Amino acid sequence: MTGHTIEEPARLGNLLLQAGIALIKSGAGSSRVITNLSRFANAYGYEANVDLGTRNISISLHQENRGNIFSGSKSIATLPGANFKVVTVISQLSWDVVEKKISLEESEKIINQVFDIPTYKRPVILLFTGIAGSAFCFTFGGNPLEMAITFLATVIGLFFKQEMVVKKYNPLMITYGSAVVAAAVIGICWKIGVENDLDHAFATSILFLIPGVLLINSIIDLIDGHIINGVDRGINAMLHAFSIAAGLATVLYIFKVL
Amino acid sequence: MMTDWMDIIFKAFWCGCAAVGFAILFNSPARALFAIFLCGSLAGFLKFAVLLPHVGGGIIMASAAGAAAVGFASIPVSHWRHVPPIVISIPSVIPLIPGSFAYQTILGLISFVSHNEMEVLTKTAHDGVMTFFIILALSLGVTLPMLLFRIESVKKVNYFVPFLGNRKK
Repeated sequence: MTGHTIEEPARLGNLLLQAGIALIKSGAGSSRVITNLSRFANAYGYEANVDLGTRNISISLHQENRGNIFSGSKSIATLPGANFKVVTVISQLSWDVVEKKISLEESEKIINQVFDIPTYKRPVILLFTGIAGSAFCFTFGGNPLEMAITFLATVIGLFFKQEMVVKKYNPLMITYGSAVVAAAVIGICWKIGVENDLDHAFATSILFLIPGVLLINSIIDLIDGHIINGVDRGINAMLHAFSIAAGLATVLYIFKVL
Repeated sequence: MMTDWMDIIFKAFWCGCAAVGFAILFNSPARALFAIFLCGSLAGFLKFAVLLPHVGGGIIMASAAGAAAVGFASIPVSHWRHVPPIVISIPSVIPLIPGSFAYQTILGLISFVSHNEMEVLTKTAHDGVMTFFIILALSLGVTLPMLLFRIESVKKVNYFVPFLGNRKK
């Protein structure tokens, strides 16, 4: 033994599994996950071989002359969302491990706390996503009244989505339901005669549901050669897009616009 | 002419706002938000400038230009704000995502169920292809610096001595 305790490979392996799952859950692309984990392992003198899906991760640790000294895997039940604070913290930690030689204990402490990182307050998220919705409406050519209605629809739709997420519905059902709610707000505004031409508002009220991270990660994975993960994410994104359109079509049909 | 540019600046401003909205939805660190606003505005500015009639780029070229600008800008900005580049670049290009083309593709598919005419199918296929190529252009634009500099980490990129910092030893 060269100064290592017996447990070190197992502890490092579990640390890498947790970090990898946290990265997958937070919307990092496949090659970013592998790069970060390899950087971790190299800093502690090991070689990590990572097998990566979109919901599971397997890691084997190797060390010179000693063959395979750790194998493990971990999976999550739900499909990943996006949380860039987690991506930032883990990326920084992997650099700190390389440059400042942080001990395994400290790394474990940071990784264990990674999901306690606070999100923004709910009203802040609602307000800014609403502003984003009305910003979309402006760039699509909407007038100020349409922008205000889109703001309202986005806020109500996102509020509904957050409630559904808490109750752990199927993600596609959540997307469909939120699209129905957001579009119904526009439909009601149209019916009570706030404005006659609400095409821009209909098209932009549901844009907060567009799975942008999935779509972009899908193509990035394909370019990087993680074909199966790329196709997986792409199909997932398409299903979400289809749910959005189905929700919109439902509302357009009810209000006899289509 | 002047009003065109004013219009573009307004649209760029709102693209920046949309980028910040999505950054908050994705829980980006607060120290990155202003940088995301700037990058989102840059993307919007380039997109709508390339779309101007006397510049004459199509929507795909415009999206690619905006996304590539964000991709290159995200490297110095990520040094400046100490965040990984995707934290900057993904929210910044979200306003360029072709929501209306995607929307019209699916609505076209749905209307093809009841109106089985050639025009409906042609228009739907066109919208679908546009959606795909714009998203392809966006992703390529964002990853372009990584592909060009053949790097695993942006920490090693230095625009002042390009291609020197990364030679295999």
